Amino acid sequence: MTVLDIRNLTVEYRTPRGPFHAVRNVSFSLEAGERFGLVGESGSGKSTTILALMRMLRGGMITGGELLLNGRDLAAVPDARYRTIRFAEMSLVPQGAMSSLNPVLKIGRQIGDIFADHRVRHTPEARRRIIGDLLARVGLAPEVQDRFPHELSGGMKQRVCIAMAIALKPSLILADEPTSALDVMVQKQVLATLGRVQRELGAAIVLIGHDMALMAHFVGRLGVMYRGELVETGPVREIFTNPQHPYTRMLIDSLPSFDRLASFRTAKRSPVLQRGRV
Amino acid sequence: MYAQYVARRFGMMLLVVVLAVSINFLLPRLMPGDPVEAQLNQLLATGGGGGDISAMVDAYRARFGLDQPLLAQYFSYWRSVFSLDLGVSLAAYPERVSHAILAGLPWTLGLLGFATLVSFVLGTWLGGLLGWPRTPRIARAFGSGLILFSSVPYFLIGMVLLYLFAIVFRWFPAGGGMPFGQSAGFNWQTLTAIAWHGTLPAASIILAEIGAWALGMRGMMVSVLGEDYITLAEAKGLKPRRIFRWYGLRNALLPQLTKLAMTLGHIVSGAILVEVIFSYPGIGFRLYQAIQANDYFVIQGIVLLLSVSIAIAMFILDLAYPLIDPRITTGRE
Ligand SMILES: Nc1ncnc2c1ncn2[C@@H]1O[C@H](COP(=O)(O)OP(=O)(O)O)[C@@H](O)[C@H]1O
Ligand SMILES: [Mg+2]
Repeated sequence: MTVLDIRNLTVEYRTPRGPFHAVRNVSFSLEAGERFGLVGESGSGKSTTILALMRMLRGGMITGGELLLNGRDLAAVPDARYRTIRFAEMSLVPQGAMSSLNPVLKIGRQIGDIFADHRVRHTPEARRRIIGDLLARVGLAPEVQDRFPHELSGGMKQRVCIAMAIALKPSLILADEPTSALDVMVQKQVLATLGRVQRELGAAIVLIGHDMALMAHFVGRLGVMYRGELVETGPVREIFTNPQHPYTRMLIDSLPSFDRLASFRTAKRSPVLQRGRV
Repeated sequence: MYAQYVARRFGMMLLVVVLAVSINFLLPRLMPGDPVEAQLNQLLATGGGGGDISAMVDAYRARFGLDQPLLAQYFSYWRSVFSLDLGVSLAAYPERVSHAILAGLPWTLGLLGFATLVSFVLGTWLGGLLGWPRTPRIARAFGSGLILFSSVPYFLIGMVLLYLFAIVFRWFPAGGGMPFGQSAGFNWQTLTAIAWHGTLPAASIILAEIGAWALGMRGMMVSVLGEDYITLAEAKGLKPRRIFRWYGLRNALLPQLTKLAMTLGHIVSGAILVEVIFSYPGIGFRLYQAIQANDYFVIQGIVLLLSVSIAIAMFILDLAYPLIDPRITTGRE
């Protein structure tokens, strides 16, 4: 079943120097449980694509194309109802893990707010237990719910964000460079956790990143964005062995050769990359 | 950890108080000449005072032991501060300074405490709404109108209110804290009389202050709404009302509370002019009269009270702050 279908998406920002097309004619789709990676230099329109999906563009608007989520045309959803789709059907793992949690509320409260505003009722004890379970699933102690954000490390905060993203069991997770603010060692662990919970949930995921090597380990299919356009899509292995666009070729060539080899080899072995088995 | 934090803050407060008392002790002694004698001579020259001036000078010297060494004077000064003995008023001899302060303090704390808290609550709420994009346009226009008042000094507002509502329409009394001759008791009549007399002074402070609170809050709100945690809150599909209250307002409030504590610390000196305009029997009016009359010890006593009350207000804020902002719990991390 197709979870997400983006057809010819075009997004325009209003700027003092006139309209600016940050995303032009972008099309791709995800099957249930699939992992899709979006790479491209900074400013190429990756975040804009995701924000358009969430209808959270600041100073911009969708000027063309169609967005279908689980078969439903998102353009037909009025603003007031869009809120109920967020995190229930598609969730977001933010880029700035360090600053994405409210400094004055305890972690448990910030997760609980998601249930409260999506009409999920629990007794207080059940709420505590469910939040504790969520935290345990991302590798945190259940007691973390009694902590404030400033008491957690960057990796722990991002795990909290991942726990939030799976709280309502969405069918799609949008992860915008979820590890770019973290140390290299922590990056891999957090990414592994994200991959594990995503597979357990069976949700599809769009992972944005600029580290081609890291991406190759994680996703099955890759899309390469360049100046607002999706210049190339395909299975990771095909893109690595036979890049079509010069920019893709440049991205791959800029990897250290060891990484390139390793990525390619893992790509062969990695079970998640064999489509249909996900 | 919290105990250690409290101890550190308490030490800080003591230090400020000690400094304030010491400066209060030193200043008159560093000044050339003897302010008391100068004052008394002036009274004598203008034929004021009426009492036995040389007896007053003797009493003063004996009380403060000005012939003793400075260190001994310093310690005895501390003793008198502890026993709330701040000397006598020169203009209203033999009224004690402590008595003058205690008589004025409840009026000032009542009027300014009330007016400050009301303008804080209203202004902060208003500022929060003005910084929130979903606020209806009408509310926005009304709020911006109120902010205009903040550019008018409160004593001007006070004078206009006094003129309109006390002199032209005669709805409210033109001055004082109570009707002349009415004795204060804890009863309904007293309370309404106090509220009646306090309405215009309180209104002028509130009108003048709301705008300042609202402006500060609006700025904070706008900057908080740009934070990543607001974006994530919206992405989570939270209700706008919750995002406004618990993710926006709650964070934007923190600097406002610091400002509130400072304002409450300055409460005694905060609106001297309002007390003067309405002849309100508070500390500010007393201070004004004392300055006019060169009533040295009253000025000194009130200034000491100011410094100590600011120190205490800051200490209370320090105690409350970790409860409001969890990041401040233990100081260094
Ligand atoms: N709010 C905005 N207003 C105007 N231009 C914007 C805005 N947000 C992003 N842009 C521009 O749109 C382009 C794409 O940005 P973005 O989607 O954030 O790229 P990426 O996530 O790939 O780094 C960039 O050139 C950026 O400058
Ligand atoms: Mg981006």
